[in-house]
Amino acid sequence: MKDWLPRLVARAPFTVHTKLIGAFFAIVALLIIFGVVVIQVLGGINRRSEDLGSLRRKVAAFRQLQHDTTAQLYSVSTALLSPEERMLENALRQLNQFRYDLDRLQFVTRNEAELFNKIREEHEQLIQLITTVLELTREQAFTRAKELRLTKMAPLADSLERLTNEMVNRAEADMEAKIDESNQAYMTSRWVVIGFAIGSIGLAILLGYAVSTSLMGPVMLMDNQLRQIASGDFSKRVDVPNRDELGTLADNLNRMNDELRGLYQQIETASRHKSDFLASMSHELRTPLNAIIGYSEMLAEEAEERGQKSFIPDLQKIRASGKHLLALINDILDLSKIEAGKIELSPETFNITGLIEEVASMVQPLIEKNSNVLTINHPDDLGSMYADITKVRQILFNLLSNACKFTELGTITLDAAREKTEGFERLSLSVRDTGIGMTDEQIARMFQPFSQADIQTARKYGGTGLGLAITKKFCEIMGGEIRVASEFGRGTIFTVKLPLSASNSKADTTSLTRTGDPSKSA
Amino acid sequence: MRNNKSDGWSRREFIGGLALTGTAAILGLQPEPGMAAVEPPPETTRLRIRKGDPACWAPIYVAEPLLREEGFTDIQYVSGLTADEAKLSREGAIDLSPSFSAVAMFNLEQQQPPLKIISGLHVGCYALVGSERIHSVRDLKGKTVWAGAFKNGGPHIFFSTIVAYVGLDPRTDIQYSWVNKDEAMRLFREGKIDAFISFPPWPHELIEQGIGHLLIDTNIDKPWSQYFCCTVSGQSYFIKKNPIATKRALRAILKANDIVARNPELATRIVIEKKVRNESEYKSVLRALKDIPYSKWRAYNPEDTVRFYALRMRDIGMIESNPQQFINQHTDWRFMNELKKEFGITW
Repeated sequence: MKDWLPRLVARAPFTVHTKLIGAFFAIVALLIIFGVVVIQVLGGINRRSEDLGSLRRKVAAFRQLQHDTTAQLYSVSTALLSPEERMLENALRQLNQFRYDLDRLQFVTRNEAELFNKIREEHEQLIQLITTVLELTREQAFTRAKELRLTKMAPLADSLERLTNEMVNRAEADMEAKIDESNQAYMTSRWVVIGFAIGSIGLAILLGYAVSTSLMGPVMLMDNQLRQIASGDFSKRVDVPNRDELGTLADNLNRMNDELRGLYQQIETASRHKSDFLASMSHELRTPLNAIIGYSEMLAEEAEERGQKSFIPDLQKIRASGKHLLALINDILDLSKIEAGKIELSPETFNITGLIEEVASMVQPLIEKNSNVLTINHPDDLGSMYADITKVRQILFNLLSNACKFTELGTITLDAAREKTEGFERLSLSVRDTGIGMTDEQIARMFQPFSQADIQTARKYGGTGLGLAITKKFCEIMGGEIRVASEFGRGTIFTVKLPLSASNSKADTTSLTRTGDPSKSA
Repeated sequence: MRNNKSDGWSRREFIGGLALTGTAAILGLQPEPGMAAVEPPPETTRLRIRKGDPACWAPIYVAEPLLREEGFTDIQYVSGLTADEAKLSREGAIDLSPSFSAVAMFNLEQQQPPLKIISGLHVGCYALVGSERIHSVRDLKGKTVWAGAFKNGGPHIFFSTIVAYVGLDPRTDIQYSWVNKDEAMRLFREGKIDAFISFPPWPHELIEQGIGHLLIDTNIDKPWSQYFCCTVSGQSYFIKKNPIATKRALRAILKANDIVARNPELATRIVIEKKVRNESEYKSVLRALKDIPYSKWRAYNPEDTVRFYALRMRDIGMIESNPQQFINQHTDWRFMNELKKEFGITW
């Protein structure tokens, strides 16, 4: 039942709107039926209460008749014992009470003509007898009156009493039957109401479950599919059985997935072609460049030896331009390798302090070029790390050379330390300069390839704009991160954190922050 | 030795006369219209009637010659207490059974034996005797009462309806002394029991001895005097298979009521000869049979008796069915309704 019902609702050829309205109306219909049942039950209770009231009135009327019969017999007996005119008149007047009782009886037993006629017949006889007895008494025929009272009147009164008793018993028995009926009806009604309540709740839950599952199921499937697409996985298709808007949406999603897969494959092919082209072009360019650089060096040396010093500056320009071009080509090659996923790490254990000193030595000419001062701070026990030393060296070199480039007559500080975060040990390298700093806009596009702060900066300071992009990619490939904090005109701080035991994990953890004082934020 | 001839009739003469002239003629009874002679003979000539202790069931013994007149040649009185009635009926050992109304109803409801109440038998018989300390039924609250030797027997059920009628709870308001009848009479005489209820002849024996006084006499006191005290039940299979025999037997038993009313001495003799009661109890039995208004049976509606007791017993939880359900399930008035016309009954 868990699966077939939502599937059935899903496959129903109606719109989502119709299904929701249908479920709503089903629940409303149940509530209406429930209300009708309750009203019927209450109606039954009310009807039975009225029946019981009617029976009580009947019993009271019978009892009244019985009481008045006894009172009449007493009056007659008194009149016989004391035959005064007042007594006789009193007894005769009481006969009116009988007629009143009979009227009342006729009213309460209006649906029981046979019963009423029987009682009336006996009462008529009794009234006749009482009248005769009282007349005989008035005529002082006491013996005849007493005889008539004993032989006729008393047995008739007895019979009448039994008859009224029987009627009372019948009415009481009817009341008992009604009470039983009422109890039975209550029990039945209780179970009907409970049944309806449980049924309604169950059906509402079932409908709610079926409708929501038939709607939410496909939505979740499509959400999952969209996530897959977003992550570049176009291999799966979403299977939604709905014949409603969701079914159509799922079909469109599958169609979109197919189209995106085709496009992605095209892009992938194009990208591969680009990388291949760049790799081969770089290789083809490096060969003649190496020759140009080599020959320009040789020519410069020969010019010096032959004393033709006027050629030397031009040859040095040729060599510097060649080297610049070679560095540019190397960077482009690195970047294309990274984008093509062809970069491989070659981890090894090396001494961190040694690496720092080596890089410091490498950047020393750059430091001196802009009359800067390099300060290196690190604890004595920096120890070693297991990582691709070439990449770590390039990261540190890029950061320090970058700082040298944008700082004049300033200070460049390198802080290195081991730190432990969430159980992992990492190497923290922080390069702080007192250079030109960056604006927020510049920071935002800083790590994009071929993107320097602006064109003027690029012209003034040179460079390809690939260094930081490559640095960031290397950090990520080694499972580390790079952060930057900068204030325009005050300086910049780059902080790199690398695992002491490098892996191929790839994490996009770069974050950018802007601080008021780069020295404080370091 | 008591003279068998009382009020001019000995049992021998009664039976002999019956053979010659017919019971009705002997007793001076008016012939009933639609007499047995025009009916087909009974389907069976054997009739087995339960015989019990109560002297008030005299009509079923007095009815023997009338039953012979109705065509029964093999009439058996099967001894059995009311408590055994259900068992005997299930075994098919009895065809008709007299019972106290309330007890019969209690057993029918509780044990569901194959029996149906088919008629009333007679009016009034039980009597409740109180000690000098007791002036009304309500005075019995918290007092010790003898209402039979065991719970849910005839006296106990009947007593329960009587006390419940005045608002006492027979289960909690009364203390019962469950001893045998002789022991109970002794305890009552000694003042260790406050009330004593029983069918004839024992309450009358106590009164004759000047011990205690009548609190309730169902012969006289309303509402009990307005209903049959005892009823006749028929074994379900028997009455279904033998409707003519049932009707003929019932006619004889009901007529016997009139004989008992007219000649209680003769009825007493028969009760003693049938060893229902001892010779020594002659006086008390005779008094009981004289007191019981056997002649009134025509005026009483047995269905209303069942209805009345059903109401009373339901009040105290002795039966669960409502009166009409009980009547529908446990009574069969077909025979009584046919005899009504014959006997000129108008209810």
